[in-house]
Amino acid sequence: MILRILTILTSINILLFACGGGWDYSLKQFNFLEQRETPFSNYSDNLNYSRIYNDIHRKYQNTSKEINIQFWQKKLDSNLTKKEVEEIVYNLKYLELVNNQNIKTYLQFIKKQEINVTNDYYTNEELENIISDSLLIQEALENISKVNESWLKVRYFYIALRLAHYSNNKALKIYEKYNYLLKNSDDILAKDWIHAIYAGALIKNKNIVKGVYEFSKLLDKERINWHLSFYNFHQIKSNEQWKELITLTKNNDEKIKLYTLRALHKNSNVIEELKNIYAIDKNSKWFDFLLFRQLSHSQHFFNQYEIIDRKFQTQAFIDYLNTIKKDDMYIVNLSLSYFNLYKNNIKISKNISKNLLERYPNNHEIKTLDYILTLHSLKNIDLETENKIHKNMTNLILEHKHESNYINDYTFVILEKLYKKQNNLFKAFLSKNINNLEQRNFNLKIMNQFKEFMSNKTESKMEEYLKKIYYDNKYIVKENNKYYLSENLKKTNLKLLINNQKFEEALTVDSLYLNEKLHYNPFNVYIKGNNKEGKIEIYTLKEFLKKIVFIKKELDKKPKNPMNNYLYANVLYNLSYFGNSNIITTSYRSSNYFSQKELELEKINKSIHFYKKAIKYSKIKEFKAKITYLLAKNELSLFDIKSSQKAQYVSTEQVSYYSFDRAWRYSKDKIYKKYVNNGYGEFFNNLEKKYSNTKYYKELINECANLRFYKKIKR
Amino acid sequence: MKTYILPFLIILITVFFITSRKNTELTSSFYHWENTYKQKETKEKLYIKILEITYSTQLEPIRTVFKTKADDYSIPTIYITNKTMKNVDYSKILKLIENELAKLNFKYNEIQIDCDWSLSSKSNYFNLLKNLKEKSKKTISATIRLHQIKYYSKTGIPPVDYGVLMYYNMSDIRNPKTKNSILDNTVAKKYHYNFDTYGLKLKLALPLYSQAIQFRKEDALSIFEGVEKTDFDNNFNEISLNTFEVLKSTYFKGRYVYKGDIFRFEESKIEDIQIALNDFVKLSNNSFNEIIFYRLKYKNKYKLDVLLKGQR
Repeated sequence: MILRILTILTSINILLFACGGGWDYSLKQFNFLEQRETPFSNYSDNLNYSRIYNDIHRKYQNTSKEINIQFWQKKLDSNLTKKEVEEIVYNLKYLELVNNQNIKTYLQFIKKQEINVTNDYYTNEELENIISDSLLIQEALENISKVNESWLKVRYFYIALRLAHYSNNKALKIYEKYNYLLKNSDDILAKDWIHAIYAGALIKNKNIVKGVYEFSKLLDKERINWHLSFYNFHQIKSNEQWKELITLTKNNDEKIKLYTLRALHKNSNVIEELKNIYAIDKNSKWFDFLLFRQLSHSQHFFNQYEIIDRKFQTQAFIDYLNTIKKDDMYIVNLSLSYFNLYKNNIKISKNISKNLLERYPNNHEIKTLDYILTLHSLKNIDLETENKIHKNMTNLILEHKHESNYINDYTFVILEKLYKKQNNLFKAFLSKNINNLEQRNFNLKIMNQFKEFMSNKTESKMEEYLKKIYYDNKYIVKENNKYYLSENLKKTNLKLLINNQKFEEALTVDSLYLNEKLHYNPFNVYIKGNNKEGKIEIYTLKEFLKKIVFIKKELDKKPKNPMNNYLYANVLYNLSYFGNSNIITTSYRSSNYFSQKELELEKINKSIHFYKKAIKYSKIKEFKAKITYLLAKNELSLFDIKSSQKAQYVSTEQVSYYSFDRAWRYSKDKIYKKYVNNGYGEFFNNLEKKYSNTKYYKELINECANLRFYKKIKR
Repeated sequence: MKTYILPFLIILITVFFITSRKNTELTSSFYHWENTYKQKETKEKLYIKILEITYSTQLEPIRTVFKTKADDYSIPTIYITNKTMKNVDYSKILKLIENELAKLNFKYNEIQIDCDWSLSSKSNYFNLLKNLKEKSKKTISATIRLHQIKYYSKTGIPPVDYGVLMYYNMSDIRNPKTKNSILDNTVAKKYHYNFDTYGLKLKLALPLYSQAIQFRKEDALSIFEGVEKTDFDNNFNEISLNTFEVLKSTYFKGRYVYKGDIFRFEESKIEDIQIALNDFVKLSNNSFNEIIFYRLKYKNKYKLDVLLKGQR
């Protein structure tokens, strides 16, 4: 509980633009650099983003808690487990294991004052019984004199100082009187906490510049609360304060830290600040630190779906870095190589990386750079190149512990582009979907190629690797050294076959999905909507397929049978986006979009064809009236499909999705006008002309909104 | 003769209703849009931002700290980024909102939600609004942008009790070529469509603030809110109307700016606010008599009572 509240010390200024979270630059898709230990090195985006602050703070809390538990483990009994120590210190459990009465008293005191310094939830009763800050401060200070253990004195000093700081109760006086206790203390945690509270108290006491100066000293990887150095720096707001701050520094390193902190602001001009630092000490580690953060930030270059023009000043950095002469040029050259790559100066970039490799032959960061450059140099791809890339990639991945899949993933980004360029769309598909073989991205052609690829012998190491990844991710299964589709992909295959009206072939797929019940009857049609009237589970998918295959065979034998023509047409309509069983044809169904426009057109056109045959060979007027209405429904669907447009946001590379006006609009008048003006409406007209005296027509007039709309527009 | 009496009466009542409504005085209210609430005595009706919900890789709530108690029946207002609505199921956002509302130290009868939703977030956002209404049993209002009225058949109409038309933030603030992103009546006119058929009763929200946008190499960096034109009198060179270049790196309004940085000064002038108000009154036949000003801290900038008088 002690550790949760340090940030109250500071008035953290999380900048967010008015009216919104604003310009939230998302995370980088790839970053090929190694993590660094210097504070803030691994956060190259805006440090004031709540996401980043929260992450830093969470890590700080975890680390300081861990150090605190280690500290207490030594002080209590090294035989206690960390969990036991945590329970004792943070939850006051197992106090019987604590022999030292002074420690027990201290822990109980910590609990007692917790309510005064945290903003956790407390009951009204607890809040009413709160002890005054002054009394608690007095008790803590008295205990400094009472206890013999020097480390406990330091801890009481910290508690008293914190209470005083929060309650604005002469914290600086307490600090001045007791800071001698820190001289010989090895309690680094308490020392850093006290330092931060002292700095915060200076600011609270209107000694802002000195407070910020003290906070700036925390910018050091050895300090536990290093983040406070930056998150208090915004207190410097004027040229006068800045000048005063500089005069407080005792050496160049301290001075450079101030420029560094100023440069950490998201809107700083880093090149200008690098110049300032270089002028003071060209070999300062803070120069490398700032440059590294810029290099890390610039790796947005590798993002594949960039919607923001980041306007990174690549050329300005190249121009500036070309003027730099430092003793250690590692970061400068690493940056120059990447920056030149961004500007497509591959030759220059390669020369720099070659020199770096000669100097640091075992450096993974440089080897990765060299590999990325190799990928960017590829002009085409063949099996031999695949093998080379595979070798380099796997070596790089295996030689170093990675927390990400960047090298693997970026390799396939480049491969996808190369395959696409060479019109090898199937391998482009495999590369694109290396980690996530999404069912919705398949079409029947790709599915057939995929099955063939799985069963064929591999021709390169890369193909072998792809199969292994799909196998590891359970997209495919292995039996007797042969690969087969997983149940999920079998289901996808089945749906694709149904969508392509390959019903007989669909029956041969060995999938459990065949045994699932259909929610609606695909042979049925109603007046209202999409035939989804009354959920009824009559058929399993297999039964449905068997029946439709039977009907089709009967139709081949007796093409003039009106009922079979009618049933077959019903099924085609119901398998379309507009019908009741579209779900068995697609892996992803949206109510606003449909995919594979050509197949939707094919189903509806065929449905019209079979309805026309049914009407032609039928002699029953009521039946003819019903079929005419179904033709009108089909015609309306035809209009929707033909007037649909590709939806940019949901379409994928392999499968496009289409939206149409009727799926969106509240008022449909305009759409029906367009429908009429484009020459549609033949079957609505026929209904009125030929069948207005049927019972079915009378039912229609009451039930069918489309017909009413149509009549209204025609008037 | 009797057959003419009823239609005549209807016409008479309608005319009376319309004219009496047009003569009703407009009232003002304000947005309180700070991260800390420390108002002591307020006479104004306030819409108080109590929570901002952003999303990065998880929900990132930013809560307003209440140093003083807000007046009862102020309207708690919650800002949600579109990115949040795109990425997080409404039920989680609803839970967060409910928790925050439960902590409020003032009574309220209404909740306002501010979100610039898009087609891909529409369904999730509308579900949030519906469920918030069901659970809270309060009046729910939502902010509406101009484009959401012009294209309402696509963007949809949020399922709320009424809408607040934000008549500001209408141009791309990041574009260096934009003249005034706060309020540009020429830009606004491009969106003067479909007010007659829009399905929500509206309140109008108008801007009172001025700001400057900082650019470096045409990249918009940040907003300096509340600056005045005279702030650019020293250490700046006016390179074109309302556009200033920094002559020497310096601290400016509490932030360090660098030589060569460009500032575009923008303000909501009283003449423009007046035109906006007139246009809205002409356009909307289904609106409230209340105008909400953004935001409270600039309430004394103009004589708002004069502005509002006689508009109806």
